[in-house]
Amino acid sequence: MANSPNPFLKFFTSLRLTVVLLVTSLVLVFVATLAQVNLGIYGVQEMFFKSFLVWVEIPNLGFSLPVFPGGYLIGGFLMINLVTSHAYRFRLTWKKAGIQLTHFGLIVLLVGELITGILQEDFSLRLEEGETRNYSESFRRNEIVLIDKSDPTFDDVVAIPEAHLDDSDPIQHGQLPFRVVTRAHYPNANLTMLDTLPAGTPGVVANLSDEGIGPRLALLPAPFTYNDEERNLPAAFVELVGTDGSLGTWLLSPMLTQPQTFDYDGRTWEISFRFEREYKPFSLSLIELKHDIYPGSTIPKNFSSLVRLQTEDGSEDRESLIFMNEPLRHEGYTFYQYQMDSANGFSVLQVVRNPARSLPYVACVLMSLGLLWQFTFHLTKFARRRS
Amino acid sequence: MICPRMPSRLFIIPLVAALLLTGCQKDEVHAYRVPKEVPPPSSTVETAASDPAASAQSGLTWQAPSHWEELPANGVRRGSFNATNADGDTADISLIAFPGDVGGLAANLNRWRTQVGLDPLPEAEVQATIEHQDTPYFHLDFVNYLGEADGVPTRVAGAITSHGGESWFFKIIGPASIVDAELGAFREFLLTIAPSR
Repeated sequence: MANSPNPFLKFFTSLRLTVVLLVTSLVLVFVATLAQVNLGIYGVQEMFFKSFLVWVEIPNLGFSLPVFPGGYLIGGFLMINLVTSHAYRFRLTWKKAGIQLTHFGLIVLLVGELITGILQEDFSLRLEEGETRNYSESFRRNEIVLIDKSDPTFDDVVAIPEAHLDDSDPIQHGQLPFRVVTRAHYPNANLTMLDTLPAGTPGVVANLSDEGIGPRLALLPAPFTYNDEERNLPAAFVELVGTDGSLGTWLLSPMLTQPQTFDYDGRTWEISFRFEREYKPFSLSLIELKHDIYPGSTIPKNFSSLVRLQTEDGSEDRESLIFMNEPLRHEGYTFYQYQMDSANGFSVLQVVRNPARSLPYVACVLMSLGLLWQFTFHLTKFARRRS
Repeated sequence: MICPRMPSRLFIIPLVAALLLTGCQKDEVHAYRVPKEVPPPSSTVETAASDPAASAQSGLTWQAPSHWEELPANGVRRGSFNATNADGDTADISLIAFPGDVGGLAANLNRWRTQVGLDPLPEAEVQATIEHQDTPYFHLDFVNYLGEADGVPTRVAGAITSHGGESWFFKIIGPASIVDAELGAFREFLLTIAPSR
């Protein structure tokens, strides 16, 4: 390698940097694997890999400190290291073409993983037979929605992601004639009817609500779960404050199936805490679901959902059968058969949108071609020398 | 450990970029307009029960034993009854619906276990406590746990199923003396639960 006078180039083209980054990533993977016992796959991905820095909460002090580089930082540096080394050392010769192609494939793979990590969305779509929906729901994220129901045809929705509930400032939005103030937020909690709870039950928090069903409920905070099989069900006491003062405080939770309504300034509003929704410019209807079993047994053979896809503009109206390994693909979304309860007539589809889903395949092809070229080139050279 | 030296003024660039990008991940409050939602075919509007013997609310009907005292329903509690014996012991019978799977079957069963003073069980063990029962309309996951609350033997028995995009919980809980006596009636009651027409 030629010595570079530029310290920036020298640093980022350094092989030592590559080694340090690879060792750091090994440590990260090792620690994350151990942490998976308590955090589960999703928690580990968020904390260690889909982050620039690994933050650890300092006990009793209430704040977190970065203690280690996260996956994005290590991956980012690796990519810069790879790209700069590639550019700096690049010599267009047949002898090195395979190595260059292999490294280029690796860059594509890293970029693809970054795009996937940032942009991939994973939702569920639960449909009963005969039901039509134009939205899917997040597996993990929740939102508070305030819906102006006054229009007979449309609902005007203001959605507040759960992450905003921990903000100290009131939440304001141009379409809301009031401010939203979080009085308390519990990332996971159980609700039960107050009148069924024995007196003196430990763990019940002070009920701050004075509107809706809230005053009749008891709220028991639960530990935040990282179990991949479980879902956190948050709860919050939310106060709405208009120009003339407080409108009241509501207890909200995705466990409360019936939205709570109120009137303000001549308009009817609905407030609820629900699984975060993503609306789509098309709808799916579940026509029929099938749960086939092997004859003479209860062993599942096949789960399938026959759905009808209709776009808003009427340009597409077709039926599609979704079953294992045969998802429906439409407008960048992929609908997989996820869960089914044929006895109770509903099917759950997993809805995935990943703009970079083809990049790993491209990367593998590039790396395979590069390696094939490199080995073939050397083998040919070796064979010629022998002869 | 080998560590390449980085020029100090350059080190700040990726660090600041990392911190900025870390801080950019929170979704914003947003507004949109959607057509009014059409309820699924099997859902009906919740109404207060008027006939103690036959209730039709929110997509399900049931026939309760005549000796159970019906209590008013509310948002999450679609049906509510009390059963009382001669000693004044009262069992609470509830029919509750929540959207989605409410954290999964194991989490819900463990919630019931803790209500009678029992420790939560790991997923596999709590699954082993389930008795699978088919009714004319539903498959029920039935459980029966005996524990202790306030020094009194307390039993919770109940069944869970899904209907209309919601998880339905049918539960009887109270002192073991009254719940044991009502268990037969409760299981008969479960057989009467059907989708409303």
